Amino acid sequence: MPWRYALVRLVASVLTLAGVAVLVFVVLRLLPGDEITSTFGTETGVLTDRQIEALRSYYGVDQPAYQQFFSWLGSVVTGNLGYSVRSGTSVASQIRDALPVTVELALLSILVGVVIGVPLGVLSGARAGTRRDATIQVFGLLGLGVPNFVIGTFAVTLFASWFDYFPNARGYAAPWEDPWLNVQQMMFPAITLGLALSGTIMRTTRSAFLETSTQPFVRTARGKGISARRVRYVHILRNASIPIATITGIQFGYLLGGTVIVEQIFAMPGLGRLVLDGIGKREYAVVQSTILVISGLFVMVNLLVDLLYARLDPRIRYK
Amino acid sequence: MAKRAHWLTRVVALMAALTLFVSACGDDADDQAADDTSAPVEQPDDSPDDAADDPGDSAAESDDVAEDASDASDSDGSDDMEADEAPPAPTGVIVVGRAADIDVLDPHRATAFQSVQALELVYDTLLSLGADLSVGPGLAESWEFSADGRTLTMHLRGGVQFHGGDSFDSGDAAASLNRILDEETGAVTRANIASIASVDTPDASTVVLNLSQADAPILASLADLNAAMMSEDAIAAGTVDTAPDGTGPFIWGEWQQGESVSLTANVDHWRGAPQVGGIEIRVLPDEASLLAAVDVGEVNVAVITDPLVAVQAGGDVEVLRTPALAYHALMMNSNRGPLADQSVRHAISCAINRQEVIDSAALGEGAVTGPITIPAYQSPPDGLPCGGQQDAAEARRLLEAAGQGAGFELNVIVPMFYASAVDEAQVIQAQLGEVGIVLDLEVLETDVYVERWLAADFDAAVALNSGKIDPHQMYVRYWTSDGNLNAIASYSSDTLDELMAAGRVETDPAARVSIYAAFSAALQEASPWVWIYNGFEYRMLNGVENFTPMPTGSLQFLREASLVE
Repeated sequence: MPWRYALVRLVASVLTLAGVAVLVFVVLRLLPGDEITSTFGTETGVLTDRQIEALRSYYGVDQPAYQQFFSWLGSVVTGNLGYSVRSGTSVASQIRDALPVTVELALLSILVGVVIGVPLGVLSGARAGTRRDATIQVFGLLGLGVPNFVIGTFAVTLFASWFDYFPNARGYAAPWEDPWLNVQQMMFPAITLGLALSGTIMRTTRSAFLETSTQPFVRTARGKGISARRVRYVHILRNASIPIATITGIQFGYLLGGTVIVEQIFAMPGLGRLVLDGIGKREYAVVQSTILVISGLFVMVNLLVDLLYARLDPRIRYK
Repeated sequence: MAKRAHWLTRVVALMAALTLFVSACGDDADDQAADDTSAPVEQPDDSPDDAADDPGDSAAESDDVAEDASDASDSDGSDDMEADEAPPAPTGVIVVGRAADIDVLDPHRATAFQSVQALELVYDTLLSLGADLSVGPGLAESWEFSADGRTLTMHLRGGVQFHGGDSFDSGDAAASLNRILDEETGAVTRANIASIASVDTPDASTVVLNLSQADAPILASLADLNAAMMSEDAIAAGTVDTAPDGTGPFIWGEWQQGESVSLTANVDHWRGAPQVGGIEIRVLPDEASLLAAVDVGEVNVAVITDPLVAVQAGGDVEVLRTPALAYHALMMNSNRGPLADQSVRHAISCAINRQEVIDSAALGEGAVTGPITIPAYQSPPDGLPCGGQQDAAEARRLLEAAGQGAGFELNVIVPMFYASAVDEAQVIQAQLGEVGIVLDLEVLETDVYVERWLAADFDAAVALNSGKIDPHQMYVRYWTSDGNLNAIASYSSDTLDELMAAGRVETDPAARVSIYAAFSAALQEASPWVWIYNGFEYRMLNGVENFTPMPTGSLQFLREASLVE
């Protein structure tokens, strides 16, 4: 009964999101400062009390907290996700601009991570304990260990100074505006993030592969005289695919909010920067709504991964 | 089944091939990263938003000014917004790159450098600043004070139009000033012009400011973006915080948040048309990437704040270093414990090796300074305690004499909003440790720091404070007993009060210089803060000429800059 299952999951998701909404709202209000101190900095000290009162009302922070919460909730229900006083635009329109950037970047990073990580994991797991295994493991550790700001800054500096090449300096181009420029701008950030991911995916693939290869059906397949390669890629890999899909899905979720450093280095106007700037400027509505959207996507991706299990392994039934 | 296997095999083989290829590249990258010394580890750089402005005499007062119905139509002789296109319109776009995006569109409320410097290109002020920080004509062609200094009459330029099409006249000037004075606006320069009791507009081209007291430095305040001239209609319509409409050399185009601001040339500007067709201000949040962007020529003018990045510039990049008005200081809270004793504050000042702070935290990018960083009024560094030199023996002697020979502990707040703050704090910590003063450093996120600072909740604060173009503006807020930041500065004296009052009414430039020299000397004698150094404003150029940088960091001379063919 996949539909019943999906319904239960949907209800759970809505509850999760409600929790996220309340939590983010409360945490933001607990942070010192507000939109006035973030705008005026130490200049806040030269404002008169009446000026500060007027600004509080201008930025909408003079209302009691519960009222702010419900008026924001109202804006979520109506779909405009709140209003950014500074820019005179709705938060929804800001997210609409930033979301495709991050989703594209996350998808490409996952692609890079899987394309590198899965074959390496298989190669490594198939000959566990050999020198090849060790070499690949070192690569995996490097991918996990070298921070992406090092790889990213290095790539920028190297290509700019050696080849006079830094496509991201031209201002972000959406794929529908300039597909070729977009591809060039996405390439380095996706590789930067993908390298780190490939380490995780490689290690997960390796251990899942090792575990599956001790299963009786593998011995049976070998006994039937199926070629080693076929056993490796069809029998073992397919059966090891569930943990790989899980980790990839989780990583994709993290990427939706976690690409912020790479977005900074490569000047990509994505969700991570929207949240970071929003926190810096204490634009509550921007932060609340963006995190809500990121959480929603995270929950959705996890749901999709769970539904994918049945595809990967027809023995799985949902109830 | 066999067919499917083939298909899979191929895909996997392809993946493996790609893997080898990409991982080979990846490994290379890792290896080289290790020996690439030029890959700086950058912390995300948030907007340096200590802005500044000035003091205020709290002689606050009346805001409501009768706004005389000035005669309606002014000399709108030619309504030639898009009339004759005789001279060839300039083309080309200068790309300005910087780490932070603008944050407010209302010039009366803008304090962050990136917002101020963008809006300065769009708005004009009654008076304007030259590259040497002298005050000259702006939208007012001439001005004079009455004999008692209580009336300032300004004669406005004719034939000036807002980008939206309205003509500029005295009604707009009065409406703009009244908007700043109105507390409901939350305008940041209100305190600076609070001596304006009322504004009269005898005719369309004359504005008369009736002052509650003589106020020479008000001229400097009227040359500041925070006193920008807006259209009376736009103020009434309430669009000034979302749709900038000034009379400046560039016309506001589009703000793509987090990405860019685009401006187009105002070919009808009263100073003459800009040399380019427009300006794009592009956001590249990471300064190392920003430097790479100028290097490859995608950005023509980059605003760099981190000296550690600036020193790496090379290749085709032309580096302009302008000594900044902003200064680095260790602010002390003279209300707290041992710091209440002037000898102890002197001892701290003597124990610090300022040059070492500059060398270690900013790679030597800066110069030791006293309180006043404005070139025309510059405080000589040898006027600092111990002549601005480190003298640990003298410091110990002073501490001993003050009964603090055993040493004590200080809580120091350190901001994260500029790159060198933590390094400066650590160098100072080591230096003061040698004379028995233990610093407990608290590194704080910008808003937390601001909140602690505003509440004067610290023994000492590492700070980068922005300077102003006039010493009165710069320090009246801190060092007069009724200054609105005096509670934070936590020191005042009759001498300082008297000198500030004298400087305010004095209009003779030479006399002002000697008044502020005396002020600076008195301030260093009292040593409520340790003034350390001022760094540079960096402007990295590639493909641009005739651009003049300013000690304020202003980009206003983009109006004269042109692209290299």
